Parts: sequence; structure tokens; C-alpha cells
Amino acid sequence: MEKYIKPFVDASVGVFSSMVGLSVTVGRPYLCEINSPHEWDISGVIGLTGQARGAVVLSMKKDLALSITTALTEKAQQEINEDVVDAVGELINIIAGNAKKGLESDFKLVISLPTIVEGPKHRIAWPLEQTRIICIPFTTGDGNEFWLSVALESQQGA
Amino acid sequence: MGLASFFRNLITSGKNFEDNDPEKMEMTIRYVLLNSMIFVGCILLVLFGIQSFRAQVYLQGIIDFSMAAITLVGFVLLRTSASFLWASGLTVISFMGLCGFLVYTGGVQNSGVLWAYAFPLLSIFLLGIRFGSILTSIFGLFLGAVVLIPGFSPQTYERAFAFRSIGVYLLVTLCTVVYEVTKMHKDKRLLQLTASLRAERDQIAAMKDNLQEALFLLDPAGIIQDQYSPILETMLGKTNLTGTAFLDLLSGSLTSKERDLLKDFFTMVIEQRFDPAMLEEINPLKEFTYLVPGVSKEKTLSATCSRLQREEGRVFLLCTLRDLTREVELRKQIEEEERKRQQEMRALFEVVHVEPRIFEDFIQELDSQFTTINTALKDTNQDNQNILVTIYQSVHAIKANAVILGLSDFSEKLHQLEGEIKRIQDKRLPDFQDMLHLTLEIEKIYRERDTFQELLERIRSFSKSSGQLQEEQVLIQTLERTIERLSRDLGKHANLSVKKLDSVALSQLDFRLLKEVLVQLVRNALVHGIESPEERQQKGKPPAGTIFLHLEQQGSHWCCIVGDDGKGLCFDRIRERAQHLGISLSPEKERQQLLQCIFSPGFSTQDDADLHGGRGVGLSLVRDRIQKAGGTIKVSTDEGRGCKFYLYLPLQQKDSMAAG
Repeated sequence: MEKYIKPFVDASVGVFSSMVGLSVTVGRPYLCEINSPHEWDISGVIGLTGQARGAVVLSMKKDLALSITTALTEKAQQEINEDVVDAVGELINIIAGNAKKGLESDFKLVISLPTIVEGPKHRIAWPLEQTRIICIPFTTGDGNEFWLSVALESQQGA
Repeated sequence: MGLASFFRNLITSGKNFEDNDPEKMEMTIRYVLLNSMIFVGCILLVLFGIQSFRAQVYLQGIIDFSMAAITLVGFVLLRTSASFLWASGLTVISFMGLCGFLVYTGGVQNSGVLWAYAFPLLSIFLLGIRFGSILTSIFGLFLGAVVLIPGFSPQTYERAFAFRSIGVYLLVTLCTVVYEVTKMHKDKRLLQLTASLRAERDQIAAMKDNLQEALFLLDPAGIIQDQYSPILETMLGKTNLTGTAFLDLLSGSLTSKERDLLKDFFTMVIEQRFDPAMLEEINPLKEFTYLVPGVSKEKTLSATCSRLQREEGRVFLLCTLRDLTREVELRKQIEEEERKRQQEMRALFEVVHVEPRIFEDFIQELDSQFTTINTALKDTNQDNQNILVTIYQSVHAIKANAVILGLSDFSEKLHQLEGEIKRIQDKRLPDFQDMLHLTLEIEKIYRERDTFQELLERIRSFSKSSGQLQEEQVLIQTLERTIERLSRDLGKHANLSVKKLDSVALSQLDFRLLKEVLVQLVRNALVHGIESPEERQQKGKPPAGTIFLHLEQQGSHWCCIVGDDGKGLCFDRIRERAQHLGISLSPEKERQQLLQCIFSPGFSTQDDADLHGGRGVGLSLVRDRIQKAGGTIKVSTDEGRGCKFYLYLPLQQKDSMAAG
């Protein structure tokens, strides 16, 4: 499983530092109940199918979304609006693209274009039956947080 | 080269025909013949013309030159896209005119008639049998008229000459026709044959190219021959295989011993030392792993070889190669699923034997341990090493319970997880990768728990009848099971003796905590305290040891005593171990320090870790839990006669736990 998750982690760290100019530290992963409440305001859902099936979701709160938008568009935003969704969407798109490079060549995997979900305390309906997901917290240099939530199921016996 | 190709172009009128097509080949010959005729004829006519002019026979000279001009037109026509028939017709007709003129005039020494014999040959060959025959007949009639009808031509009539001329002409015509017809027939046959051969070849090629198995030939030296299936390149991940030694291609995937084996096998196949069935039996390539060069990819391939003798007496190896990767993958998947299913069945059987109430208790405890683990993982204030200790303790506690319930598969998995944690702990600075790996491993255990939950619900639905067990019974049964399982595995005998079990204490104390701690202490007593039956008999003790439990109120505390009649703490061993671990001991407080040691994480006097002990977690877990609950521990030991653990827990302990 790690081999499928690692590219997303690396891509997140790399893209945040190169695109947004924020240094990012990876926190300790933990387990999450699938329906446990959280404070996310915007998420990008990247679907995976093939050797492993499931989804990787990158979520963040409003503050980080706004500062990403400012960094990318050089225009300060006060609320989550279309520009913010576009900017975050673009960022997650690039992260998915970077992760894809490593994954699609080494494994039989197909990675979907990210779908952006927005709204205070939104809930993700995960595509799998499992009740827990792996949560990887990230902390940015300016003290914001974002999370990579992973629910994957290996399709092969191995 | 330039001159040669210029000449070739000149003689074939620049027409390019495929070499291997017999029909086109014949056309080339016709072009070459016609062109040569045109050249020779043209040169001769010009020479004749010049000669005629010098002999002042102007009419003949003009005819000669105009004929030469006409043949040149034929030459030009040949080079255009106009039909071959036009150019050849022109040439043949002009040749016919020339011959007619020579026959009519008689020529030098009456040799004019000789030219006539070349005519059927040329006209039939160049114009084909139909037009050729018509022209030949017309010319024949003209020849007949010239030689037979006196006064038709300026020549003198001689009957013998006339009949001979006509006879030879007819003979030549006949021969030409027969030749041409035979040739046409042969061509037709050839064409049919070629067509059927080509169809056959295309079919074979199509089969070879589309077959999922790769076919190829190896010469006795093991070199791949040029007619191999294209799929072979895909399978081996390499192009241009002709001339490559098959063994070299496999060199990366085989050990040198396997290579030698394969060489011997090839020799055996070539020399036909055994019958084919036997050879197939010993084929070392029946199923082998092939490492695709350049990419880190493995394929499972299967090769078969058989001997093939060609007509020249040369021997080849006819080999087929099949890609089994997908098959093997599927097979593995099926095996894995089968294994999983069996495991589930086993788990089911194991679970069925457990009282649902106890099993439920087990799952609840599992959940509480998982909560501890996940809380630790989420806790950003603790560093990885601290968290690993917490996780280790929880996993160990779960394992202890799993062993009691006889969930051997699950215990084995937890034991492996412990090993994994140990491995990460041994790294000074565990990184993200390690922690991610650990989290995923824990998640796997979590999934097992879900399976158990499902099983429990299923069992519940079967057996509603068995009433609820009281906590007291749960505790005693759990401890009895612990002793039963452990003593069986350790080859010891022991009984549980419950002296007093205060029911108020049981209802007030955190039941799960109490059970967890008692299980660890009982395990400890059995693993480290109670001796083997032989040893006990030597010491004059009964072969079965006794582990006793006592729980009552003592002042403001609950006092719980777990004791055994075993060998007691062996301070020498503890000291030895402590020194080995580099713990400094002061002589006056040594005994106390050594007692501290046995409660510290990672301390064990046992050398090998197994399912039951040896990783030094049990007692450290007991201390942790008791301390967290605000309690204290005392130990009293009597070497050779046993050891007692006194646990003191404050009254109202349940509330303080809830608050913590």
C-alpha cells in the first residue's frame, strides 16, 4: 500500500513548495473513522482504479485555501469563491499529475482527474466498504494544515 | 555502376518489374527482346540504307531509313505508358514489311527468304499467340505467293525451292506455336502454384503473427533464427532477436547452474536421448521467471522445445514461448483468496469455541486498545519513540487476550506486528515511511477486528440462549483459559485458586483494566514463576503449580494479590541481565533497583521472544496501567517458594479512570 500512497505524499510536498512557495512537513499518519467530523472547507478527490482501487482526498481549511489562491493569482480573497475553487483545483490537479507520473508507469493504475468538493464541514462518501481511512496530516511553514486521506484496496492477491 | 544501370534502363525501357513475380519476369524478357530487336534492327537498317544509297538504289535506301525511323518510334512508344502491344505491333509490322521486301526482291544470293524464318518466332513471342498467328499466316500466304506464283515477284520460279521454303516456314511456325502453347500452359500452372503457395504462406504467417504463443527456431548452437513470431519481441522485451543466443537473453533470469542445466537439456532434445514425454517432464523452462531487461518487471514464461530436422539434414530446435504472467497472477490471487477463506473458517472455528460474552469483551478491549493506539498516533506532542512504546504495549495486551481465546492466527499476526514495531524502534529516528507502514499494518489488524465483529454477530444470531455471564465468571474463566493455554504450550501444570473476589470491588474497579493486568500477571507467573513438573518434583513440590488470586478492600484501597508457588524471582539472573543492559546498580539499594528493572519496558530474562513472553512488555504494561489508575505495586518474593504481586488501587477508582 505504501507504494501507492508515497507518490501522493511526495507530490504534495513538492508542489506546495514549488507552486505556493510553502515548505511543508509531513506529520504522523493515523487512522480515522470514516464519518468522524472534521473541519475541512475544501477537498480534492482523486480516484484510483486498477491494481488498487479507492480514492485519495486532499482537504484543507479556508485559511490555507485563501493563501494558496493569493500565492497563485496574486489577488487576495476574503471568502471561498470561484477563483479559490479554481486555484485549489489547479493545485490538486498538479499534485495528482505529479503522483500519476510515478504510479502509472510502475503499476497498473489509472488515476482520475481530481474533483473539487467545497463547503464547510463537507463529508466525503468513500467508494469502499471499509470503515476506516488513513489520514496523513501536513503542516505548512505558515502554520496551516492540510490532510491527505487515503482509502485504498489492493485488487491483487499480493 | 552508372553505366550498367543506364544500360539496364535502356534495355528494359525504364520499366521496373518485381524480380520474384514470374509473370512480370516474362514481361521483362519481352521488353528486353523487343528493345534489342529495335537496336539491332535500327542499326542494320541504317547500314543497309547507307549501302543502298552508295549502290544508288535510292528506293530501297529510303525504305530502309523509313523502317529505321519506324522502329525508333517503337522504341519511344515502349518508354511511354502505352500498351506493349502498340510498340511491339509497330516493330513487328515494320519487320514484316522489311522481311516482305527482302523475300520479294530475293536479296543477296536469294538469301532474302532466310529472313522470313525469323518472323513467326518474333511475331508470336512479341504479340502473343492470337495476333502473332494472324500475322504469321498473312506473311506465310505472301511468302507462298512469292515462291509459288510465277511472275508475282521478280524472282525465277523454282518448284523445289518453293516447297522447301514453305516447308521450313511451316516447320518454324509449328515449332513456335507448340513452344508458345506449352509455355503458356506452364506459366498458367506456375501462376496457380504460386498463388496457392502464397495463400498458404500468408495463412501460416497470419497464424504465426497472431498466435499468442511465440514460435522460433534455434540452431544447435542456440542462436535464434530469422523467422520468429513478432510476439517474441514483446515477450522478451527486446527487438532484433535474429542471431542472438537464446541463453544469453535468459542470462539475467537464470543462475549459472540453471544455465548449465538448460544447455544439457537442449543437447538432450537435439540428440533425442529420451522420448518427448520424458523431455517435457524434465524441461527446466516449463515455468520460469523472466526479468525484462531495462525495466524492473518480472514475467512468468513457459518454453517448450522439440527437435526439428530440415531436408538438408540440418537440425533445429523448434521452440514455443508462452506468457503465463497473467495466469500465474490469477492463480496466486485464487490461492490467496483460498488462504483467506480458510483463515476465516479457522477463525470462525476458533471463535465458536469462545463464549460470546467473553468474545464481546475481547472485542471491546480491542477497541479500547485501538483507541489508545490512535490517540497516540494523533498526539503531535509525543515523539515517535514514545508512541512506539505505547503502541507496543497495546498490541501486546491485545495479543495476550488473543492467545487466551485461542485465536492463533490473529495472535501470530499481532506477534509479527510486535516484531515490526521492534524493528522500527531499533532505528534511532523512525521516519514518515516507517510510521506510514506501521499505520497501514495496524489498519490491517483493525480489519481483522471487523471480521471478528461480524463473526460475533453471526454467532449471536445462532445462540441467543446462553445467558449473560457475570463479570466474576468472565474474569475467572479468562484467567483459567490463560493458564490452560499457556501451560499446555509451556509443558507446565498449574491451577488457579481464587481465595476471595470481592464483588463490590469488581463492580467498582475498571473491569477491563483489572482483567488486563491480571492476565499479564498470571502469564508472568506461569512463564517465569512456575517450574516444569519434573523440576517441581525434584524440589518436593506437587507437579502442578498454584496461582492464586485474592481481591479485597484494605483500608482506603482495593488490594489485589496475584501469587504463585514457583521459584520466586531469581535476582542473579535479573542482575546479570541488568548488567548486560548497562544499568548501574548501587550495592545498598540493589534489591530495590533490580525490582524496578523487571517493570521497565524491554526488560526480559528470557532470551527468545515467542508468543508468550520474552519481549519484556508484560510487567511494564502492568506498572503503566496501575500507575495511570493511581495505584501502586509491591512485590514480595521468596526464592524457591514463590512470588506475590500486590496491587493497591484507590477506592472509587472507576471514576478517576473515567476522568483520566
